[in-house]
Amino acid sequence: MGKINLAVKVGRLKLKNPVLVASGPFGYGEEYAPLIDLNQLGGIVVKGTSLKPKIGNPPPRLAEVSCGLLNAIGLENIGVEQFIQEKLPFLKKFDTKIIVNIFGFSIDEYAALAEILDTTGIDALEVNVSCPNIKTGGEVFATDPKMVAQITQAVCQRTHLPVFVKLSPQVTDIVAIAKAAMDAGADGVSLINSFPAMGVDVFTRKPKLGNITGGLSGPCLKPIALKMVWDIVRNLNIPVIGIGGITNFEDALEYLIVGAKAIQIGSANFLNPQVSIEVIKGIKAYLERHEIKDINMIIGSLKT
Amino acid sequence: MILETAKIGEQRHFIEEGTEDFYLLTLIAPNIAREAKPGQFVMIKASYTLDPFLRRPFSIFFCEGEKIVLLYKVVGKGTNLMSNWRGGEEVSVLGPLGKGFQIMAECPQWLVAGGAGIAPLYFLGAELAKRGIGFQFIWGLRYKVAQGLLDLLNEKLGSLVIYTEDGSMGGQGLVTSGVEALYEKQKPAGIYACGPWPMLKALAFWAKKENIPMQVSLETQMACGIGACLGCIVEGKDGYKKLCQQGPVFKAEEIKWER
Repeated sequence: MGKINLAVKVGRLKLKNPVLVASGPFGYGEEYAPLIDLNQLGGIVVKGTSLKPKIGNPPPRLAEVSCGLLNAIGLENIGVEQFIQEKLPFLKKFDTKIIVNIFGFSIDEYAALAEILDTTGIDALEVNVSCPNIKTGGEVFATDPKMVAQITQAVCQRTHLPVFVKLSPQVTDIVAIAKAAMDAGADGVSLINSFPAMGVDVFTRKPKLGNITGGLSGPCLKPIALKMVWDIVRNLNIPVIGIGGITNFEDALEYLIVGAKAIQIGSANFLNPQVSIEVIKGIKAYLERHEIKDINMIIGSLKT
Repeated sequence: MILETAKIGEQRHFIEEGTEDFYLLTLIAPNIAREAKPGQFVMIKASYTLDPFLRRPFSIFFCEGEKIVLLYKVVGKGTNLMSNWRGGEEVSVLGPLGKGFQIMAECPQWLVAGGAGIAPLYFLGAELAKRGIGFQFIWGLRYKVAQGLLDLLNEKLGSLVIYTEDGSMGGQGLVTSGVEALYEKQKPAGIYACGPWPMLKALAFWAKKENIPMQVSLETQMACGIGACLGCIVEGKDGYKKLCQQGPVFKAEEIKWER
């Protein structure tokens, strides 16, 4: 059997394989560099980045649950300027795509971030819309198709880079939100972000997280995320990046078979820092075993 | 920082009637063992399944040749599974992680442990003994421990001052009363401590009052262990610190003790 093609196109973004590491758990990539060869990754989605540095939430920021993890990091990050100066040069040394996840608390902030990052040599933007809009009293952007459209449009106007909108699962109709992003010019959507959640310590009767509430991630989310990906691919013609609870190549294949063009691995990096490399190898071995020459023949091949 | 598949060596369970019980686990992990320093930690995947989900951080109790030794108590799902390891199994270990103790050369040093907080201090005591730096070890417990464990500790640490809350071994009371009693006889040049937060807080205030330099090894929930996720932060006087990377050992004066 000849060479197997793992390369995929997600809108305008070309990846050498469909395996990305998700924003947040993977930090700025440099933390994992001693443990894995970053060159092998399809891409790295950098930690959520804001205009100004953000201190984040008070501890405790983590609480484990069965097959998953609650977190309330509070989007702590060093801000876009420091990212460009101190973190980006290191990432650029690697033969992998760099996607910067951006977030803001007003549409202007998103637009400004898109403009600043446009010519820095990164490969794409991922727009986290799961933030409260401080100008409308804290309503989360992600829940309103109009606001998602406005952010997407503002970002797309300020950058020539491919733009992916990262969707929150806490919405009534994920298809409507994805459609709003698509109609406003997004190259694709990535989903899901962590699910709003909380935990309680019954001995102290205190919340397990310093912020009281946080986000749930990990394999306990996977069936929910998979179904949301399915909802979008069967209703809309828009590239989807699947995220949620992927811990091995079979999980990744589930998303691809359903129709995601690429996937992201988040929390699983904590249990196995080499998981992303193992998923790439696993997908390749699967294709070899089934004598499939091109990963694109798997994508959207769900038999219903 | 190395990700190594370790083989489980022997595991001993120190338990007698009426004792606090401890497990002593030996892992064959030559690459990590070669690099590990007192105060550093490892992260262990307690199960190949997804529950428990995260790795568990453990301070290194001792290193010798190809072996890493951990001393732990069963406190939850992960340690419960680990306590069933009988030897020969393989386990994924990430380490050595974090910054260890900065060794102070002046004598005598005091090593003050609370409960399972003895783990990093045993490794440190062994290192101080090797360097000929005099020290006194003080261990506070809820109640007595098995003789076998004491014998093992005595080998490297000499005689320990022990305080138990119920008085079943050594002096009765908290380890802090032990420290104050000892202070009548001896002035330490420095203190290293590891244990529950209230104990460390009380000691930190006392050491500051007496003007004694002190280092503490802290613990918290942790996910990545390598400074990426920002989940393990602790409040320092000049802002949040990453416990896994900037710690787990800190100077006591760096930490904001009031919560």
